Amino acid sequence: MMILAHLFLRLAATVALASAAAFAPPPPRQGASTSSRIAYGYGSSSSASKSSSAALQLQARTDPLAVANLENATATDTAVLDLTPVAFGSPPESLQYDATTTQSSSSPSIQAVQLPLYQLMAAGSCATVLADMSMHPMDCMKTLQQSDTGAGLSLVTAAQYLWTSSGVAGFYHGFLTYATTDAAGGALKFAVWEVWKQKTVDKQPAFAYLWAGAALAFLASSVLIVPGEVRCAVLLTLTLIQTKHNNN
Amino acid sequence: MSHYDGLLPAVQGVYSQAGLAGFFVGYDGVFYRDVPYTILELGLYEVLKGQLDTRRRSQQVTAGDQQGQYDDTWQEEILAAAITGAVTAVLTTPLDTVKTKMMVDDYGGFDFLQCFAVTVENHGWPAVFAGVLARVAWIVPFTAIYLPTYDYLIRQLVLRQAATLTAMPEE
Repeated sequence: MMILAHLFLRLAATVALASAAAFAPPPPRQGASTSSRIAYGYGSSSSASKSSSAALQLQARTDPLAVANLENATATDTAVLDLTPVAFGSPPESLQYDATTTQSSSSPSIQAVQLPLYQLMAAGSCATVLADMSMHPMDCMKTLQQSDTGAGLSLVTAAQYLWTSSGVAGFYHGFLTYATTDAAGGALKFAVWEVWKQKTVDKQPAFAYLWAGAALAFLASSVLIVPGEVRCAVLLTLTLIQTKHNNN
Repeated sequence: MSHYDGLLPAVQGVYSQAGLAGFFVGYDGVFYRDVPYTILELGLYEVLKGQLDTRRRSQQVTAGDQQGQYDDTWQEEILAAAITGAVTAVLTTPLDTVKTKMMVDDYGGFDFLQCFAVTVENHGWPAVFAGVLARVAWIVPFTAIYLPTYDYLIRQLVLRQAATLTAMPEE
């Protein structure tokens, strides 16, 4: 029963992501030619080419909302980058430009890829559900240890208790509820986080803005996550009490 | 027992018992724990990823490797996430302990800081770090799965879109 539910969730997550990706036209294989370099900047301001413009470094910091594709660019090229803020969901103007203009092979072509908000949210949800699914058994054992029902149990005996009382399902008590609220919360969290990072990319001091963004991201998601967590504990306790009662 | 395991019955049950406030029992404790937690989680991960990225790129430049230098970042993402998880778990353990005490033990009328102070006064500093190992053992794998998975999914989506864009008529 529970396993079926997990499979369903996993399927739902896959479908969500696949349908999100399906909005974009399928990527032709030839497109990913070896000559093109796709650059991700992961929060690092150090680009491989030190002499490239500050704009490129800026671009690197906006990732994963943006990716710079340097076609035939050399280290000494000064890349001109369109960093005009782009509304989510609408294709960036630079892309439309690139789509309609034949590129000359000598000039670097920089394309800013902007993922629409719903894709970020889908990714946030999927990652959350996957991580929850992996660690929920541990969470159940911990909750059992902390509750009155399971006071004094070690991690091993707590696992034995759950196993004997309800088998595999014992380790996934309340998972559906937890995952539902957490997936929604994860979507909100990463939506706020990514948009915040994009909006404050050139603001200083950077760490203060990162902190503020993370706090904001949590506040947004907390409205959904906190009820889920409380209910999870309630559900687990209720179920365990009932199981114990039935066993006696 | 499976009839408890659903969103709707749970919502109805909690609502009928405690009303709307029932959904936010212990909210302030969770709030004090999770705001620092999220700041550390997302912020530290971002910083560590940047550090590892910088290191790798400089190594690759030294080695003269110009091709594929932006590929395969998942190992360092997992490493960054694991370190983030460990640091975050340890640092937020006192907050988690106080939160649990507020929910479980009788600290009625005490706010978060008072509860923290009373715990330290009665049981000493080690008390606020109770269960730190269990917390680390739980949060490190969680974070190591959580954040890299997100990055992986984003990368797939970005790659997909970038591949579409590089397929523009050229040559």
